[in-house]
Amino acid sequence: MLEQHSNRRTFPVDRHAGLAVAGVAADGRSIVGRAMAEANNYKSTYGEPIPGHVLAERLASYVHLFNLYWAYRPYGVASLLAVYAREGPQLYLVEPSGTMHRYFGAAVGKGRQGAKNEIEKLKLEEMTCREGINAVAKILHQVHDEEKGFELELAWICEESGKQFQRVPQQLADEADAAAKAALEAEDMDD
Amino acid sequence: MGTTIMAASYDGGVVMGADSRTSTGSYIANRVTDKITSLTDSIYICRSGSAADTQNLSRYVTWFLEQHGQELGDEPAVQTAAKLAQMMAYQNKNFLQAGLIVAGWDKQEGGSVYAIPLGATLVKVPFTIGGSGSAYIYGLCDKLWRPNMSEEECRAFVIKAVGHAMARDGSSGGCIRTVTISKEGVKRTFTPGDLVPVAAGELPPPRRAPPVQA
Amino acid sequence: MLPRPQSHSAALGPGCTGPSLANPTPLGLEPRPVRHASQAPACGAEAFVVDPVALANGQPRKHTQYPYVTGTSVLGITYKDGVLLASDTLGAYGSTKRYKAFERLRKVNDACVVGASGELSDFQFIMRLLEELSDDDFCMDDGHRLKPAEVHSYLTRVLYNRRNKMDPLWNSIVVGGFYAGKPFLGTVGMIGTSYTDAHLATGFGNHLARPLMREKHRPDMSEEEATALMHECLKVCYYRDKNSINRFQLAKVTADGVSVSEPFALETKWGYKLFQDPAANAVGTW
Repeated sequence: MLEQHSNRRTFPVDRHAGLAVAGVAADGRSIVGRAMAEANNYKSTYGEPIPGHVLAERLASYVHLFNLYWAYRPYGVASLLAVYAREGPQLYLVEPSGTMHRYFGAAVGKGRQGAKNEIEKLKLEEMTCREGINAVAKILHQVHDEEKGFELELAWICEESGKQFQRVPQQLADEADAAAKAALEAEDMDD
Repeated sequence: MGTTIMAASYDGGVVMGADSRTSTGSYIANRVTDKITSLTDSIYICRSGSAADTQNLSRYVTWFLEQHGQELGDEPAVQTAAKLAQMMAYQNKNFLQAGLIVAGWDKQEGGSVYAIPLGATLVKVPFTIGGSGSAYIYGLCDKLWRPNMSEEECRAFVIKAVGHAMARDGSSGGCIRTVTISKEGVKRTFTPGDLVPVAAGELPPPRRAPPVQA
Repeated sequence: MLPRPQSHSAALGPGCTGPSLANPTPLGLEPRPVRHASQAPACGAEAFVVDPVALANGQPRKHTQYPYVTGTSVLGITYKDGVLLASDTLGAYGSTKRYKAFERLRKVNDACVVGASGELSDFQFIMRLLEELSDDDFCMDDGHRLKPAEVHSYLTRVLYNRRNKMDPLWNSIVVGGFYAGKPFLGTVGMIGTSYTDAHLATGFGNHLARPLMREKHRPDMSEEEATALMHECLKVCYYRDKNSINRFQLAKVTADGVSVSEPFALETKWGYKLFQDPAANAVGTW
C-alpha cells in the first residue's frame, strides 16, 4: 500500500556525493543528515567539495562513537558512499562498527552475499556507467524474492550526470529493469 | 607595517616579493624583516598591515592547514589556504588590520595567487600588489606584467616593481626578498639594500668593499 | 579545534554565526537582579533573551564597519519573457580600480540570479549562504527549488537581522528571476529595506539609469529592446560614475534558465565637436 518512492534507500548528501543505506531506515536518514552536514561544513571551511575518503572517514568515526557508551546502541545500518570528486569516482562502505573501506564493487543488506558473488563476475574496469545500471538492476532482481516484489531504485554520479548525484532517468531505469527481467527469464529457460 | 608586497604567476608557478622594512612611527624597527611567511611547504603568504595581527593569523592558518593535511593525507591546495586565511580575516575584520597575499603551487591548479585585501574579500588574480608602497606602482605593473612569463622574467619583474615602490614610499625600503614556488620546489632570493636598483633622482651607493675574509 | 562555521544561529537569527541555542550570558550563574513579580513571567521561566553584553565578549561594541572593496551599481529590468540584470565587473578599493574582473552577477539556481553592489566580501558571504540553501534543496531531492521571491524574502531577513545586530552586511542586492511564467525583480538594501518593481537599480544607478528606464521601459519589451535599453543605461552609468569601468556583464533569466554573459565593452562617444573645443560658444569653461 506504500506510495511509490516514499521509502527511499539512496540519498544525495552533496552535489557530488550520495549515500545508499541498508538496515534500519530511520538510522539511515540520520546518517544521511550527518553526511550532509559534514559535506556542507567542509565546503564552508575549505572552499571545495569534500573528498570521498574524508567524508567516509568522518562518517565512520561518527558511527563508531555509538559503540563506545553503554547508553547508546550502535547504528543499525551499513551504508554505501559514492563520491565523484577531484580524485575521480570512489565507492566506500561504512559499517556500524566504524570501519570504512574503499571498494570497486560492494553490496550491503540481506542479499549482499549473493550480490557480491555476482559483482565479482563483472569486469568493472571495462564497464561504462550505462552498462553498470543494467548489471546492478539484474543483480538486484536476482537477490530479491520474486513473489515479495521490491522497488528498484537507481541513482548515479558519472560524466553523463555532470558528475552530480542524479536519479537515473526514468526511461533508462525502465529499460534496465526490463532488460534485467528478460535476462533472468532467459537464464531460467536455459536451466 | 608600511610595506610593499606582491605576487605574480608565471608559466610554471608563482613569484612572491616583498621589501624588508618594519617601522614604528618614523623609526625603522627592523630593516631586514621577512614578510614572506610559509604556510606549508609549497604555500606562502605575504603580510601587510599590523605585524602582530598578520603573524598570528598566519600561525593559525599554518596550524589549520597542518590538521587539514593530516585529514587529507595530501598537500593542501592553495585555494584552501587562501579560504582559511580569508575566513579568519573576515570573521574578525573589526579587530584585524591585515592585507594578505596567499600564493603557492599545488598539483591540481599549478601556481596560483589569491589576494585578500582589508575587507577580507577573496580574489583569485594573475598577479597582485599590496601594502602602502603598491599605490606607487600600479601603472608600472599594469605595463610590465604579461601572461606566460618565464621564471627569470617573472622574478625580474617582481624585483623591479618592488624596487620602484621602495624608491617612492617612505614606509617601504631595505632589501628585496623573493620566493619562487613551482613544481620543482621553493627558491628564495635576497637583494641587499645596496644592490637594489637605483631609481631616478637617487645616486647609486659607492661600490661595496670586497668582503673581508674571516 | 577547527573552526566550524554555522551560518544560521538559532539564537541570533539568519546570517549570524553564534550559539545555536539561546544562552543568556556566561555570567548566568551570578545572582540576577531582583525583579518585581509583575515583571517576571507567570510561569516562572526566564524570558527568551540574548544578552548583548555576552555577545560583545567584554569588548566595546563596534556599531559600524566600513566598506573596503566595493562594487558600484547593479541594474535590472523585466521584459516580455524574463529579466535582465547588468553590472560592470569592477571591485574598487576606495577610489582605486583594483580588481577589474570581479563577477558581481551570480547564478543562484535555474530560476534566479543575484547581483550585488557594496562590500564584496559581504557579498561572497551572502553567496555562500545562498549556495548552502541551494545545496540543501538539491539534497532534499523533491524537485523543488527556491523561487526568486523566496530568495528575495530570505535576503531581506538576513540583511535586516544583521543590521539589528549592529553589524550590517554592506550591500545593495538585486534579485532577478523567472518563475511560473512571470518575471521577478526585487532589491534589498543594507538595512533590510526591500521592494520589487518592473525596473530597478542600486546606488548611482538610481540617479543615472532609472530616469532612462522610467522613460523607455515597457513590461512587454522584446529581448532586443530590453538589451538595447540596458546597454544605454550601462553607458550612462559609465560616463557619469567615477567608480565604474567599461567591462560589463549581462545576466538573463527566462523560462529556459539562467545565463550570465561573458564580459563585454560598449562603444562610447567622445567625437562631438564641442568636446574638442568647449570654449567655442562660451568664454569660460571647465
